[in-house]
Amino acid sequence: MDSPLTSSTPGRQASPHARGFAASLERWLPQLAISPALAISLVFFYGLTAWVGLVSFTDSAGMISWTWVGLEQYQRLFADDNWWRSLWNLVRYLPLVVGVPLVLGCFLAMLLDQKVRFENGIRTTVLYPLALSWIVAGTIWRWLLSPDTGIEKWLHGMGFENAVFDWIVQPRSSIFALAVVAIWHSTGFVMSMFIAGLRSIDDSVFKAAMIDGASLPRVYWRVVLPALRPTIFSAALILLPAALRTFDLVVVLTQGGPGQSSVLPAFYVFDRFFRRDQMGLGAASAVVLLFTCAMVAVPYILGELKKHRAE
Amino acid sequence: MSSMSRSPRLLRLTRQVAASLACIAATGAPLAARAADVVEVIHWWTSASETAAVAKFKEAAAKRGLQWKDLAVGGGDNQRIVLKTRVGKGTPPDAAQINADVRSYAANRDNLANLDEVAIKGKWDEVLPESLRRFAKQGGKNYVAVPVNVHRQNVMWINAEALKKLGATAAPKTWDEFFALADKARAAGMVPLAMGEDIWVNFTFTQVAFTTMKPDEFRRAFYDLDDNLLKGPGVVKAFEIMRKLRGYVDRSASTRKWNEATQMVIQGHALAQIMGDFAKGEFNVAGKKLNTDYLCAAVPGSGNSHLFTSDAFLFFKHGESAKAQLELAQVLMDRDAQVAFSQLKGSVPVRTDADVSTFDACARQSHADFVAGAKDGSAAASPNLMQTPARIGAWRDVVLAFWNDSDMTAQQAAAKMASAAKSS
Repeated sequence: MDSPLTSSTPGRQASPHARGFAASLERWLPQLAISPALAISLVFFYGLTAWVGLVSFTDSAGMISWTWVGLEQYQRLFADDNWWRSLWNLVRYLPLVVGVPLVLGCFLAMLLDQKVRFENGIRTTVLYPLALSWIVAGTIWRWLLSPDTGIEKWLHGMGFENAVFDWIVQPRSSIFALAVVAIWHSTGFVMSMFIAGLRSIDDSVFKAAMIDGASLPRVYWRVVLPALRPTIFSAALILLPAALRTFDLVVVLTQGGPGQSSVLPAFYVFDRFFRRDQMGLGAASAVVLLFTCAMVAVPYILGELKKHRAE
Repeated sequence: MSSMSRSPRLLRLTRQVAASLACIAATGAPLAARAADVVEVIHWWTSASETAAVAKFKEAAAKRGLQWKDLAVGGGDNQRIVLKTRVGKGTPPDAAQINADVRSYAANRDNLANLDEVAIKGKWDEVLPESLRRFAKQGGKNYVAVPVNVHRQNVMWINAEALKKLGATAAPKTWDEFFALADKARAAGMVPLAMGEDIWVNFTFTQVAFTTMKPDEFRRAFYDLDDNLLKGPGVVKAFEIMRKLRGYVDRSASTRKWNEATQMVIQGHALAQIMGDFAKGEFNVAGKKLNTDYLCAAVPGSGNSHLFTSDAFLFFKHGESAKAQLELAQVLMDRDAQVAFSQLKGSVPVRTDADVSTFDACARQSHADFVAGAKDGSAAASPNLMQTPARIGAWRDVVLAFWNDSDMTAQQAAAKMASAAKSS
């Protein structure tokens, strides 16, 4: 991954007689080219983040107001049972929707890597969820998960009269219904990342291990999986923030219901900020969510970077 | 002009000439003077019937030489966000459709146009019932919003065929009658009450509370937050009925949109649904006939009381288009324009003096109850129009918590309603 970056520098050094203007242009051009993007990300990402942070210290309700109230919104936030409920939901939801797609996607990729027939067809099918819009997928899943139209009814029709599959209408399990759909959505994507990772491993590694007498599962476990480390890292880094900010899924599937049973923090932020006219409270919850993300992501990224450098 | 062209005594040709002359006389001169009278109006009416309904207001505006610049944003949530952004930036539209948000905009009246001049001239106080004036004035002396229509909420939609099959001849008048009927419906393999997702559970609670409390108590509890009433017998009784209703709702209710629940009634899978008068559109699209295929009755126990929500417009203060805004306010309160609009929208006009003889029986009943309720106080606005969304949300959380937790008693729930009113 590092090679294209490092290879460009010797080329530049090879032309010491270039005129000053061209040289400085060459030096400044990348910065110039990147600066609009930089400015945009500064303003719209960090600027707006700071703005939300400021709003969280005000008494903004239906409109933004700049009356300072200190930490009052945070006190209200942590006195709100619904917020705790959403955090608890996240604790149960996050490991599932990050872990299961990683394991399942990796496993499927290894199966597909055995030069099976119809590999392309299978790959497309598993990857297809990504191409569906959440509105469509969510509506279909809402019907599939609903006891009177979906899987449960189908099972009854098959003769399993006592089959029960009603997670989505049970306050205790509705969050797992969300997890099922999230896993369905991201597994194909993770799988295709792993396929790419597997293809980049040289065949000779396999052959060498086979000659040494290792069985196929052992080769995958001891040789291939460690080599896939960067892939696992990038997949997790994509899945984690996506799971932390899960919002659209909640909107199309349950609207946080039944009751508040499937509310996730990002939905809570939206609900308070835009629907309930509690902008200060919504901003406070957004800030807490941001720090939660940072707490998870920063150590992980730092740790991985350190390892890369060490290698 | 319109009365002239309708006059039967004139010859056709003369009539046309006279009409077009009148047309020129009526609009030609002002048109020249107000060539730049453009009003920008933001609203969320984007479905086919809604667009057709808004067109009636546009026509009425055009007759007054106003150019209606349309800013239609699909989806109430989206429209609210766009409006909030525009107001935040300091470039609000001239007028904005609104229903539950009035309160937060009315908090700063300096931002809103003063409509006194046309309100007095048009005698709005006389044609609007008290409950609506209260919504349109939000506690102040002047109008902050111009209401254009009324949607009845306390309606029970009943499959007529199913009703006949169960041996009943009329819609249930009391909750006891309904529960007796519901038992029969369940025995016959029907879902007694078709219910939609969470917000409709809360909607149903509001309708039930309106039957277990006197309209005045209802207003004091849910508008003025009277603590004793909120945890009092009326609200407790409402929760008790909700607990009973829960037993007549099928398991999948929380995954359903309101119109999917209406389909259950249309197809005869369910006996009844409690839903606002906009559900009529679903029956119409399915080709069902009022009173032969389905009944549109008041929610059991509410008699002729009328609980409604209303669509209204806010006018933001604009130096340059103040005059045009006043014109537009008059258009929106125009009796004929309101009738034409509501007929297509499926609501009823907000003016008590409107002529609804061309409406269907369901809408005529709604308007009659609304007008009568305006006089004797039995018509009330939905609490959503009177409270902050935060408090409505807090109450909804209580209702849903009760609905999903069979261990919670009606008394506990009522006590939580009272404390939610205080803390939000």
